[in-house]
Amino acid sequence: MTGPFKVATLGLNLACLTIAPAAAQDGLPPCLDPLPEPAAYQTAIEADGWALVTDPATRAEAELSAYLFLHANNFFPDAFATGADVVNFVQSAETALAQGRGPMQIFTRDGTVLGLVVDETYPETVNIVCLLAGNDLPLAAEYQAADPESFDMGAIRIGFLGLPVEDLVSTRAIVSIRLLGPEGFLRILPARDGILTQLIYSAVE
Amino acid sequence: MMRAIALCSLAVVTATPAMADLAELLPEPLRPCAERHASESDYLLALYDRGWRPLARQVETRMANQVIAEGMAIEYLPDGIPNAWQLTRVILEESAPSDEFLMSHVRLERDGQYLVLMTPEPEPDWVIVDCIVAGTNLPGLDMMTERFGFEGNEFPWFTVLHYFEERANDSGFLAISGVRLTVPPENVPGLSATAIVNISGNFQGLP
Repeated sequence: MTGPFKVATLGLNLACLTIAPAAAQDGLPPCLDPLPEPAAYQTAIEADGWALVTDPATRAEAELSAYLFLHANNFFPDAFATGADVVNFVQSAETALAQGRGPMQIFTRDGTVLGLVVDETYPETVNIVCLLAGNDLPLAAEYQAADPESFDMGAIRIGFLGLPVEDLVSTRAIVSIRLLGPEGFLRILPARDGILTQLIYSAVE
Repeated sequence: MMRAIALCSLAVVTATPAMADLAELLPEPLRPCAERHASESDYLLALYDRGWRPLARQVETRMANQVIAEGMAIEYLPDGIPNAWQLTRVILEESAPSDEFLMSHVRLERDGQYLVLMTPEPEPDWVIVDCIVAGTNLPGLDMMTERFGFEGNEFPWFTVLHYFEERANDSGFLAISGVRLTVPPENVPGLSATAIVNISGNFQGLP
C-alpha cells in the first residue's frame, strides 16, 4: 500500500478533536492551508526555511524519524519496559515503512525532520500529511497542553487538535505525540517528539 | 572437543590474588559494566557517557549481530585447530547470529567495537550485569595483561584470559574474561571480530 494507507490510518485517530483556533498552526510548516497545486507544497515548505534532503543515507534516517510517529499513532506501542522494546519498536516501524512506503519528501530545518506526503489517490480530493520529528519540540508539548483530553497510553502521550474548516476543506487536524520512557531508553530513538498534521480538501473548484 | 575452560565457566576459575580493584583493569569505556547501577536505563546512560551509541536501525543491528556472533564463536573455539584457514572457517560456521538472544538486548557501538548489555530483572537487593564486547581490537584485553599480567591459557591460535574478584563479605563478584586470536589479521580474512571480552558483575545492595 502507498499513500492511502498512511492517510486513512491517520484519520482513524482524528474522530474526536478538541477544536483549536486557526492560530494554533503558527510555527508549523505550511501544511494546513490549501494551495492551488499539490506540487506547490514543496515550494512553500522550502520558502519556510526547510531544506529538501536528497542524500540517500541521510534521507533514510530522516524518513524513519518522521515515520516513527505515524507508526506510533497507528499502533500505540506498549510501555517500554526494556531497551530492547525500544529497538524492536524502531525496527517494526522500519518494516512497516518498507512495506507501506508512499512517496514522501523529506526536509530538515534546525535538527527537525519534516516528511511531506501528498496523496491524490482519491478522486477530486487532496490529502496533505506532514510528519514533524525531533527532540523536545516545544510545539508538541504545547499541543498536548492545549488538548484537555490528551492522554498517556503505553509508550506515548498523544493529543489531538482540530482547526476550523471552511468551504472546500473537510479536515484540518494536528496530532502531537511524545514517546515516553526512561531516559536511557529514549536515547535509542531517532526522535522522541512528533507532530502529525492532516489537511483534506476538495480539488474541485 | 570443546575447550574445557569456557568464559562463562566461572566455577573453575580461582580468585585472582592480590587484586586491588579488578574494575581498574578495564579501560574507561568499559567501566560502567563493572559498576553498580540501578537499572538498565542507568547502565545505558553510563555507557553513553563513555562514548557508546545505541543501535536501533536494522542495518546497524545486523552488523552488530554479526560481530557479536563471531565474538561468541571465538569464545567457544575448539582446541586442536590445525591452521588459521580452519580457524576462520570454524568461526564463520559457528557465528550464525541468534536473533532471539540478540533481539532481547540493546546493542551499542563505539569505535568499531560492539557491546551487548544484559541486565536481568534485578532480584531484591542484587544487581546483575553482563557486558559482551566484540570487535577486532579490544584495548581491554591489553590493559588486563599489561597491568595485571597474563592470567589464562594460551592456545596455538588464540589466548584466553580470565580474572575474577570476589567482593568482601559475600557481597558479589566481578569477573572479566576474554579471548583474542593471536594470528595476524591477514591470516583470518573475512572475520568481523577477532576478540571478545565478557564482563560479569554481581553486586549486593541497590545503589
